[in-house]
Amino acid sequence: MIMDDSAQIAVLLAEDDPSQAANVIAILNAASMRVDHAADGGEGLRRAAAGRYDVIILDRMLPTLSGIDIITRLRSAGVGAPVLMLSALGRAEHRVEGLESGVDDYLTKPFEPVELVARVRALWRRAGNQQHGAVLLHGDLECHLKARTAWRQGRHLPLSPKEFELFRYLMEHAGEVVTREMLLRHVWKLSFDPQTNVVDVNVGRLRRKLEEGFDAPVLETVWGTGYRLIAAEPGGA
Amino acid sequence: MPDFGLFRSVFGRVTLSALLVSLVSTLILFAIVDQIVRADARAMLGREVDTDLAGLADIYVSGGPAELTARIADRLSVERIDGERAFYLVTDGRGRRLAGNLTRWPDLSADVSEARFVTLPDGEPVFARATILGPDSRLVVGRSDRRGESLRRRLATAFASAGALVALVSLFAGHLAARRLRSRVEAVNATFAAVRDGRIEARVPEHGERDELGTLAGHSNAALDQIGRLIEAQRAVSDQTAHEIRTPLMHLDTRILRALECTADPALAAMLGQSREEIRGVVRLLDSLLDIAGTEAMRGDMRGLEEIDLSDLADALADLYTASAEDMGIGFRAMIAPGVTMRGDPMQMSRLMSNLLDNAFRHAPPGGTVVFTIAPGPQIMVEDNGKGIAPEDRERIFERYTRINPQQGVGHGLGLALAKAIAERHALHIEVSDAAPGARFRVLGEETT
Repeated sequence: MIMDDSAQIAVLLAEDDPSQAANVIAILNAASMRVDHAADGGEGLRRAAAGRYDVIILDRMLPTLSGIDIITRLRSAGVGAPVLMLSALGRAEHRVEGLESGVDDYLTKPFEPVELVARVRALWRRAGNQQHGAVLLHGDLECHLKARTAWRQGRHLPLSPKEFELFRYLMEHAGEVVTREMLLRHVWKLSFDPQTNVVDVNVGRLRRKLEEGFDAPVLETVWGTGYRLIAAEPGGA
Repeated sequence: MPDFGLFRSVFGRVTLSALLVSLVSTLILFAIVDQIVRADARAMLGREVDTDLAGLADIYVSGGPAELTARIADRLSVERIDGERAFYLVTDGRGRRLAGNLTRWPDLSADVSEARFVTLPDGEPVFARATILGPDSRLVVGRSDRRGESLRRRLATAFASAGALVALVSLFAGHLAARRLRSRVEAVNATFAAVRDGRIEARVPEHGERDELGTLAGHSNAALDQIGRLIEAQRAVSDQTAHEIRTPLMHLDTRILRALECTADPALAAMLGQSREEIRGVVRLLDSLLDIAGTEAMRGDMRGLEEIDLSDLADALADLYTASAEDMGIGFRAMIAPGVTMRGDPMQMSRLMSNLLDNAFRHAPPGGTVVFTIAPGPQIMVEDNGKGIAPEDRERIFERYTRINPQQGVGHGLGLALAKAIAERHALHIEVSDAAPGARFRVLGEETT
C-alpha cells in the first residue's frame, strides 16, 4: 500500500557531495520515488523554480548558493513545494534558523535512511492536502481527533493529554518509522535531544496502555532508530 | 536615550562653566574699572581740597581767625555749578566749633594732616583733610563726590547689563553648541545600545566631519565592523568544523549500514550497530562543544532573544520527565509558578532546564526525589537527594569534561558546562549548593542574587 502511494513522488535533490547524493538517491529509489539531482545551488534553484516536484531536498551548504538562499528565493517567488533541508549543521540554532527561513522540515546528517523516507512521505502527504479525517484508523486502533480519545478494538484507552498527542502523532505516521527526534520536535516542541531516555520512557508508557490486555503488539521499537505503529487486524491477531 | 540631568551631562557642565566664566570675568573687569575710577576721583578731590586748604591757611596767617570765618562763610554761600558741596569746620584748641557748616569733627587726625573719604552723619561721603592752623585752631576742608558717585553708579549699571547680556549669550551659544555635540555623541551611544540590543548591523551615521567626534564615529564603526566580522568568522569556523567532521562520519555510517545489510550474523550486526551508536555519540559531542562555544560567544548578544514564558517551557519539560521519574522509581515534584516570563531563547532555556533535570535524575538514588522549582525572578531550582557535590568540586562541576564520578559512565561531562554557558548568555547566575542531602542547582536572575 505504501509502495503504491509513493510511486508518484517526484523529488528534487540539491546536494554537492556526489557520494552522499548517490546514497540519498539510492535510498529514495528503493522507496519507489523518482529523484532528480542538482549538483550546486544555482542549478538547484533553477530546477526547483521550473519543475513540478512533490518534495525538494536541499543540502544546506551548497556551492554558489546556500540552501537557505534557495529557500528564501523560492518562497518569495511563490514556489510552495515542501522543502526538506538536509544538513551537516545539526545544532539547535541551525534547525531553528532553517525552519524560520521557510523550510518545512530539517534533517541532520548522519541520518537514518528510514527517517529520510518517512519525512519525505510526510511532507508529500501534507502538501497533497491529504487532510486526516476526524478519526484516524490503523488496524484495530482509532484516534478521535475532536474528542481527543483513543480506542482499540472498541475499548477506550485512558491517555493523558501528552500521551494522546504522542498517540496522535504515531497514528498520523502509522506504518512509518518515527524517530525520537521527530517525537521531541512535534510532541514536546524541543529541537534538542535530552541526555536521558525520557522519550523512550514516555513511549514505553504509551505502549503499555496500547497493549495491556490485548494479544498483539502494535508499537514496535526499531532498534537504534525509533518507533513504528504496526497494524493489528481488528478482531485480534 | 538616557537623560543625565544638567549636572551629570558633560554638555550641561560645559554650558554651565561657560556661564560661570563669563560672569566671573565681567565681575573682575568691573572691579578693575571701579578701582581706577575711584583712584582718579580721589586724586582730583585731593588736589581741590588741598588747594582750598592752602588758601584758607594763608588767609588765617594773614587775616587771623575772624578773616578765616568770614571767608569760609563767603565760600559756603557760593552755589557751585557742578552741584558739588564744600564742607568746612574750624575749631579751637579744645575742639569747640568756631565756624563752618560741619557740626562735628570728623574722624580725622589734624596732627598728621590726615586726608581720606569720611561719611558725614547724614550719610554723605565726603573727601576731607584736617590740619592744625595754629596752637588753638584746627581746620577741616571737605568736598562731596557726587559726580564720582554718579559715574560709578552708571558704570555699575552698565557692567550689570553687559554682564547679564554676556551671560545670556554664552548660555544660548553654549546650549546650541552643546546640543549639536550632544546629538552627535548620542548617535554613537544609540548605535552601541542598538548593537547590544541585537541589531548588529547598526552603525553611527557619518557626515564627513573631520573633527574629534567624526573620528570617534569612524573608530566606533570600524570596531563594530570588526565585531561583526569576528562573529561571522566564529560562526563560519564552527559551521565548517561541523560540516567537515560530519560529512566523513556520514560516509562511514553509510558504509556500516551497507555492511549491516549484508550480514546475517547477529554478533557482527550488534557490533556494527554499536559502531553506529558511537558515531552518533561523536556527533553529539561535537554539537555540544560547538553549542558551548557558540553560546559563550553570544554572551551579551541580545539577538534572537524574545519575551518567553518560562513556566510554559518548564511545564512541558516536567511533563516529559514525570513519566521517566515514575519509571525509574524516583519521586518527582514540579513546583512551577505560573506566568514567569523573561527575555530569552526558548530552545536554550529548555535545554538549560533539561540538562539540570538530566543531571538530577542521573544522581538521585533509587527511591530518591527530584524537585523542580520555577519562581519569579526568574529563579530555576533543581534539587536531588543523591550524594551531593563536595564543596571543592562546586566550581569545577561547570567546567567542560568534568565528571565527578567517572565510573557512572554516561555523557561527556558537557551538560552542566552548556547549562552555565546558556545561563550566562541570558545574564543569569548559576550555582550549586548543598541540599543536605544531595545537590541543589539554582539559576537566578541578577536582581534575585
